[in-house]
Amino acid sequence: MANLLVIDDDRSLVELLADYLTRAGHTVAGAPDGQRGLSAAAEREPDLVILDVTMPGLDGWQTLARLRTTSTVPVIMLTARGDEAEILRGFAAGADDYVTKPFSFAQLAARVSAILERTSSGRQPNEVLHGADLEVDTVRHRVLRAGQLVELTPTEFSILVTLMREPGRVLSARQIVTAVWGAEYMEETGYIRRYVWHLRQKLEVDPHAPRYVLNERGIGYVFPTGD
Amino acid sequence: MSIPIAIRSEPPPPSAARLLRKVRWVLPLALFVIAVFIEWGEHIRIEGESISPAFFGEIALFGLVGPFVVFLTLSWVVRVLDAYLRTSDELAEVNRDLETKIDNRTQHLQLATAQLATANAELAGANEELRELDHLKSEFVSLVSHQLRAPLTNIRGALEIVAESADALPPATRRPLEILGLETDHLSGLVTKILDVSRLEAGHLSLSLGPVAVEPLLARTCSAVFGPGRGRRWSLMVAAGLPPAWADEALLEEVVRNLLDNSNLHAPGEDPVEASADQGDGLIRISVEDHGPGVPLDEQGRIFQSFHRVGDRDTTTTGYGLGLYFAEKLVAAMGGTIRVESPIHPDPDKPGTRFLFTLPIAPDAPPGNDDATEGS
Repeated sequence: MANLLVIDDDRSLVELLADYLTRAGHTVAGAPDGQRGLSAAAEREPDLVILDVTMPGLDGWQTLARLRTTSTVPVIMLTARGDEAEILRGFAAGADDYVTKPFSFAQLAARVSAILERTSSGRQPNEVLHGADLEVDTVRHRVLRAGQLVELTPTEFSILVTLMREPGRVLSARQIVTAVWGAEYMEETGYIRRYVWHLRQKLEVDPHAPRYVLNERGIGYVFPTGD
Repeated sequence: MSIPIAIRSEPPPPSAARLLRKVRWVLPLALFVIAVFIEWGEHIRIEGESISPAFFGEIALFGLVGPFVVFLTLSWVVRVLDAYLRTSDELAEVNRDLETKIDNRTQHLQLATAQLATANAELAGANEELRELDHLKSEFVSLVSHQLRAPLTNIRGALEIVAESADALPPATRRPLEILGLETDHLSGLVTKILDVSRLEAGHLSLSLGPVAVEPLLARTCSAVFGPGRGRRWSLMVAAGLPPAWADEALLEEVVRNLLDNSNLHAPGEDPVEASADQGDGLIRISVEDHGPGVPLDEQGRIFQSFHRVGDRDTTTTGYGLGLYFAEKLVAAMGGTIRVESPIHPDPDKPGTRFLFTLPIAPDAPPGNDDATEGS
């Protein structure tokens, strides 16, 4: 199905992953370190790379940085738990997804399929929404305002994405609540103003003069179109 | 260290007293001689009188009475001076005693201070050592856990590969394989938890605070823990119109999950686990209660310590003693408190346990014209 490259110094893991992913119908090659991984990537032009973060010599992030100078191939990082800050930096360096050790092979295979599907359908590997100077990556849950990372909670992120998916359209509180929490909470609109207020505190340059999340009095909220 | 004493006044030197004692005798004698000489000169030589009663009268007055009065006066002065000197001596003695005592006490105090300083230094050293040990322990646990992840990933992966062709395996191997899978999952869970705890202890856990709708989060977590088909009855009661909590969504879910897991583990399967949320005293209150064996009163104080397990020798339960510790740390990090209540039901066989924790309410938006909540 797809041509995969696994770069990890743990030979047992490379062998097992190759076995598992081959059964899933992929062609898998392995490399034991960053340097040889880069050579293999140049030679084989894989559809997707699975890259371990912790390796002697060139580590995963350094390998990724070098890989990105020549290739846009999707990359899934195998990370250590608790490296959220590093993971965010890794995303900025061009990783597409990550799984945390110890992970299940089924989970990794699912991520591989999801990324390959997005790539093959001609879309960007990740759905990225743009509006004004905002850039919102819906898969990595990352928001950049003028290139600067804005930290939002999952709920605040969902509200923003809900509005950004339909720029210019005013969404009622019920519509937002339904999209964010589900239809069973449709009537729970009493606190949406509070969520929006806190979202603006984090997102807007001047929360008193919002540019991204505007309100239509008595109707709902809207993410404005570019013009 | 010496304390200056300001109660002395200089006594007259003893030589002055000796002089005064001599003067007491010499001065009246000299006065007598002078008086006799003057009277003799005046009456006998100048006026040519013969020795008369008047001459003896004046001699008696100026030569005897006057010097005697002077003698008496000086004697009195000498007595007073002696008394004064004695008192001064006694005072000096007392002073010397006092100074000796103060010196002794000062030495004792200095010795005690030195001992205290030594003890303090030892304590500080021991404290530092303990801290170092604790740090080493955390480092060690963290390192071991990190090292365990790679083989665990491989074991899990290998098992997944084998499980895919489980049908081709002899039936006798299927059950052991299943157990192997479950135990590996357990071990992965433990390693993950230890890493989370060591991250929390090292202060590496960053909070992303914001308003959190409590009901969807509780419903989602209960479904994930108890799931359909796991045979556990559960209920969720959330007060109508409950405002959002101010919390980290992922960590709050972790807290609830730990409490639910704990109930799931300790309470018998046929009785329900009840989660609820309301507000009081300006806080969101979330509770999880069960119909399990309860927590003895003497254990309630220690239940939130790491690696503490209720009824430690009871090997039938498989907790790690980390879940409640982690939950307590997370709640505290989000500005709340957690406590345990037991018994909560009248049935002595199933006294049950209630875990109750609080969280701040998300601050309300200030009043303004930004009110879009009327729309539908």
